[in-house]
Amino acid sequence: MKSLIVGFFSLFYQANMNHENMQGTGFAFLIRKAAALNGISLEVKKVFEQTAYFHTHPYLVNFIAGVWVKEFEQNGEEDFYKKTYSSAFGAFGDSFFWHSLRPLSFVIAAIAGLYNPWLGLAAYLVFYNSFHLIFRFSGYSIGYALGKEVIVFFNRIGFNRWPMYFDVASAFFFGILLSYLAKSCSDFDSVVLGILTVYVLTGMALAKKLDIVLGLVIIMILTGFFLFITGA
Amino acid sequence: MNIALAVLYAGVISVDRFAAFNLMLSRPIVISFVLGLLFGNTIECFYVGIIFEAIGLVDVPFGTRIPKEDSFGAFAACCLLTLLPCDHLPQYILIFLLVLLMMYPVTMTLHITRSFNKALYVRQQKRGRIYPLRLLMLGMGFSFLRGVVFYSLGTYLVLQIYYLIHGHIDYHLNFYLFCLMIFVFLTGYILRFLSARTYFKYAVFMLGLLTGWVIL
Repeated sequence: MKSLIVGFFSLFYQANMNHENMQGTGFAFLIRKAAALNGISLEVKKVFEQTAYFHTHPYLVNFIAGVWVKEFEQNGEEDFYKKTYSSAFGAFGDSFFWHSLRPLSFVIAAIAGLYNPWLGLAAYLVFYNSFHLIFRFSGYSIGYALGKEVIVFFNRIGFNRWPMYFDVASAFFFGILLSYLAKSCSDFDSVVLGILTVYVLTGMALAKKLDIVLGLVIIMILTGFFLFITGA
Repeated sequence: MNIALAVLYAGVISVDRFAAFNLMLSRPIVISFVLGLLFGNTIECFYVGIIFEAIGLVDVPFGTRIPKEDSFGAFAACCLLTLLPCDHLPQYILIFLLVLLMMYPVTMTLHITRSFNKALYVRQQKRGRIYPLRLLMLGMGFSFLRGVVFYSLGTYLVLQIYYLIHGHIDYHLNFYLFCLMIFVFLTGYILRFLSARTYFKYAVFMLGLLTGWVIL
């Protein structure tokens, strides 16, 4: 229950994000609530200290909150582990949630959305948020139970390998999506299929060299010109 | 009524994007589904959504980085495709280009939000007492307002600029094919971005292409 309550409060903890202390204000808020749930009333000075610079991945912050409260109860090094885990979980979360889960959720939703927009909308929100909410709402209890050894949990579930599995799945589903779109737009027009192949290869070639928005602007103008010339 | 709902949704997008929730209500593909259902042009909005989503998949908020406002892009383009009677490709291209251009100033407003949050935090810090809940509520409120004001304003400005400079070219070209070609190009970016062994990744992609072609 405590984990659910902390999870709920963590939904709002980023609202004061700024370049001075990033998520520090939210972390202080979260810690005060989490400590209160464990019967600890933090001093004003302690809460004030927690508003210092803090930044991590928003879905994994509750693990850190759990570790912090546990260490605080045991007169341990709560601020040391807060700093250590904030950067580690920042990297973990970015590489899985932002880098890998979003493309897979998108491509699944796009395939589903081609049949029915409601299905696509539900597919994205349910698939993505099932991972998001599980981590968010269980994070505090796991962090509190394992304390400073919380990293064991991530090793146990092989979390650092998840991005690779999800990226491979994304590549597969992107293939399916492109096939379907190409089939529905051009059927067996070999010229269009050939051009689409050139397009995807061009995208791959330019990906690491040209900013995506600039690349998009150039390709839009070229495509418009191409379609105008060919009358497609 | 639908426009009023869209404006309110803009506020929710802004909050969900950086201030609270992170439930992905702000992803371009989700925005395109929602606005498509709201305005009744689901297919056009879907094609807009996949293009702006592709930008967001590559331009990621790693660490403290502020990515470009792909959510605004999807919001504005979906709204404009509903508001404007577009049936010629040059008009679509013009809308896309104007929206892409407007993404930059709208992204700047996120810096303003963070500066506002910083000012509030520093002011309380100087007084020696910080009220986190008050700061979080103000931050969320400001973020909601940012969405309502700047998303609507950005969309309105694109609309006005479009009226000013759009031509009277009358070519009936295939909008879906245009979007598909753009999306295929962006898929190249996404494939390079995905982390897996290069040849394995491309082999799986090819397998997906074949599967899609055979099954679908």
